[in-house]
Amino acid sequence: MTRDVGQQSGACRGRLWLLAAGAAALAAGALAAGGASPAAAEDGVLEEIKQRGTLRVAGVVYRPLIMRRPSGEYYGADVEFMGELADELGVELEFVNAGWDTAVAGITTGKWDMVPAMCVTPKREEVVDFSVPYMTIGGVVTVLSENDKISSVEDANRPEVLFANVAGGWSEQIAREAFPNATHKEFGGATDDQLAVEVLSGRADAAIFDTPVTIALIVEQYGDRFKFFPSATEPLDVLPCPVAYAYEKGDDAFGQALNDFISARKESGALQAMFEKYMTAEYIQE
Amino acid sequence: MDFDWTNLWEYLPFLLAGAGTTLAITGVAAAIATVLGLVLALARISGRRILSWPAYAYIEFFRTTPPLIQIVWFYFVVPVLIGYELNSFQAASAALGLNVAAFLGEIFRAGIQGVDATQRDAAQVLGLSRTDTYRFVILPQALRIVLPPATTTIMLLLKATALASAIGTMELTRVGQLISIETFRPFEILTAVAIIYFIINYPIALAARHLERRLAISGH
Amino acid sequence: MEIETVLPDLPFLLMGIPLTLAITAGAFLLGTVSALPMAVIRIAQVPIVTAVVVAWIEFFRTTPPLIHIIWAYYVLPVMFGLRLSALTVVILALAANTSAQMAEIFRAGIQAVPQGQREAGMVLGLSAWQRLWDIVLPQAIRLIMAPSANATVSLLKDSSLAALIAVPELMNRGQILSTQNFRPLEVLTLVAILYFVLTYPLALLAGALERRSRVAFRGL
Repeated sequence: MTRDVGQQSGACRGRLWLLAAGAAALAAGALAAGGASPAAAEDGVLEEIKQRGTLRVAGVVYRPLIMRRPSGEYYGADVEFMGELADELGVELEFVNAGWDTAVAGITTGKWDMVPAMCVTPKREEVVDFSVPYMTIGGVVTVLSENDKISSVEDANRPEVLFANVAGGWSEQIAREAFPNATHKEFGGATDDQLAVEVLSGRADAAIFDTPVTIALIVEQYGDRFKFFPSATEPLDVLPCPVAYAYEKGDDAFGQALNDFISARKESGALQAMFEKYMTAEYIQE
Repeated sequence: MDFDWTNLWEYLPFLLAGAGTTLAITGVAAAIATVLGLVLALARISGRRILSWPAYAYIEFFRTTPPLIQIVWFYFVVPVLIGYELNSFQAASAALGLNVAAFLGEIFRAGIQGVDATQRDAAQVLGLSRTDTYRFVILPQALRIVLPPATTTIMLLLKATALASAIGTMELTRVGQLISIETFRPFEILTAVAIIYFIINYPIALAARHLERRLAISGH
Repeated sequence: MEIETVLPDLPFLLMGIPLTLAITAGAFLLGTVSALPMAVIRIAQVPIVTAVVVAWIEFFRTTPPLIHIIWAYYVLPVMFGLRLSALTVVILALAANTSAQMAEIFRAGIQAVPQGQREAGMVLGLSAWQRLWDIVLPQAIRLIMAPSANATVSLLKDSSLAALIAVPELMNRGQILSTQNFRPLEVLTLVAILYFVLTYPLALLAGALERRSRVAFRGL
C-alpha cells in the first residue's frame, strides 16, 4: 500500500500535461458544439413545432402578461394567448424555464421557439426577429419617496446613485443608456418584484420600471412609498419599449404567423379585452 | 416587525412538493453518481493510462468548477451537443450526478486502495479468482471505509440541489423564492425552507455519524 | 459556439476575481477562527453551550449555502435593521457555513490524536489548556490540513453564489457579459475555465497534503 514518494514528481509532470490536454479537449468540444448548434431554420420552426407537437415558449416572468404561481403554473394575458396560438397550430403548449438573461440565447440554441412579452431593442434586433408589437411601454425611474439623492431625472445620472437591474432585461438597457454615469448592479434571473424590494429596502437607490403597467402595479401594492421620474405616467425619452414576441432570426414564416395572430386579436378587440382582464391601464398599440 | 405565520399553512403544500422534487433530483443524481463513481474509481486504479488519465481529468474538472456553472451548462449547452432537449429537472439531475460522481470516484478509490494489500495476497494464496477477490474480500471491506464520506457527500448533493433553482427547477428553494416574492414575507418563508432542508438532511447526517462510529477501523 | 468572440472581454471577467478571492478568504478566515472554539466546546461537553454549538453545526451542515445567503440578504435588514452590503452578507453567510464544516474537521482531527498523547501530557503535569495547545493541536494540524484545503476549494466555488445577490464577482460578471454579447455558452465556458484555474492549484495542494498526512500517521 506504500506509494513511493519518487513517483509523485513524475505523476505531477504527467498531470500538467493532462491539464493542458483537458483544456484543449474542452476548447475542442466547445468548438464542436458550434458545429452542432442548430443553424437558422431553413424551413422555419413552424414545421418543427408541428412535428414535435408542442409549441415551446420561454417562461420569462413579466407581470401581468406572464406570471408564475408557486405551484409552477403559469398564468397571465400572454399565457392565455399562447394557449390560443398553440390551439391554432394544433399543438400542445409548453413553457420552458427561462430568465431574461438567457431569453435571447434560448432562441438561438433552439431551447424555445419564441419569447413573449419582450421589448424590441436595437441590440436584440441584431440577434433575433420580432413580431409586430402589441403593446407599448416606457421606462420610469423609480425611487423611494424619502430618498433625497434624486429629485429629478438628471440627479440619477451620478456615480453615487445605485441602480438595481435585471441582467439582460430591457430596463437594464434603458438604465445603462440613460444613466451611464450611475453605478449599476445586475441580478441574474431576477424579476421586477425583486428589484422593487431592492429599492424598498434601500439597497439600491433606483430601478427602472415600465409605465403604465408595472408602475400601476407598484402604486397599487406600495401606495406612495415610491416617487417616479419624470413622473408615474410620463416615461423617459430613452428606448421606449414596443412589446412583441421574439423568434429566430430569418424565420419569416413563423413571424408571419405571429403577426397574423396578433392582428386578428387587435381587430376583434380580443387584445383589449384580455388586457383589461389582467390590468387596468390603457396602453395597447393600435 | 410583524410576523405572519398563517400564510405558511396555505403555502406548505407547495413547499412540500418542492421538497419532493429536491429528493427526486437527489435520488437520480445519487444513482448516476454511484455507478459512474465506481467506474471512475476502477479506471483510476487500473494502472492503464488510457483509462486512468481521462478519469483523472474528469474528476479534476468536475471538482474544481462550481456546480452552478455545471447546471446552467447542462441546461443550455448539452442539449445542443447531444441534439436532445433537456428540461430543468433532467439537466439538474444529470449535472449534479456527473458532479458528485467525481467526488464519489475519489472516495471509492480511497476505499478500494485502503483495503490492506495483505488481504489481496491472502486471497491470492487461497486461490480466489480476481472477481471473487473483489466481490468477497475487497469490496466489503472497502465499503466500511467508503460509507461515512459517501454519506456526507450525499448530504452535500442534497444541498447542491438548491442550485437547480437557477434554471427554474421547481425544487424547494425555487418554490420558496416564488412564494416569498408573492407574499412579501421572506422571513417566514425562507425560515420554513431552511427548516425543511434541515429535516430532510439531518437523518442523513445522523446516519453518517452512526456509520462512522460503527465502522471505525482502529488505527485509521 | 465560437469562443474567440468572448476572449476580448476576458479582462472584464478577470476584474471579478479579486472579489471572488476576497469572499473566499474572508469567509475562510472568519469561519476557521470561530470553528476552533466550537470544536473544543463540542469535545469538552460543556452543558448547554455544547448543545447550542452542536445545533449551530448541524444546522449549517445540513442546509444549503444558497439559502443562508438569501436568508441573510432579505431577513437581516428586516430583523435587526442591519443594512449590510451584499458582499458582507455573502461573507458572513459563507463564514457561518464554513465554521460548521471546519468545526467538524477540527473535531475529527483532535479526536484522532491518540489518547496516549493526552495521558502523557497529564503525567507530565500539563494543564488541559497546555495539553491542547502544545500537544494535541500540533499533531491534529497534520490531519486537518487536507480537509481544510478541500473546504477552501468548496468555498471558492460557493463564492459564485454571490452572483445571485448582484456582487460583481466572477460569476456575476459572466452573467452581465453574456447578456450584453448574447453568448452565454461561450461566456459560461470561459468562466468555468477561470474557476478551474483558480481552484486547481488548491486541489493539487489538498491532494499533496492528503498523501503527507497518511505518511505522517503511519508510525502510530
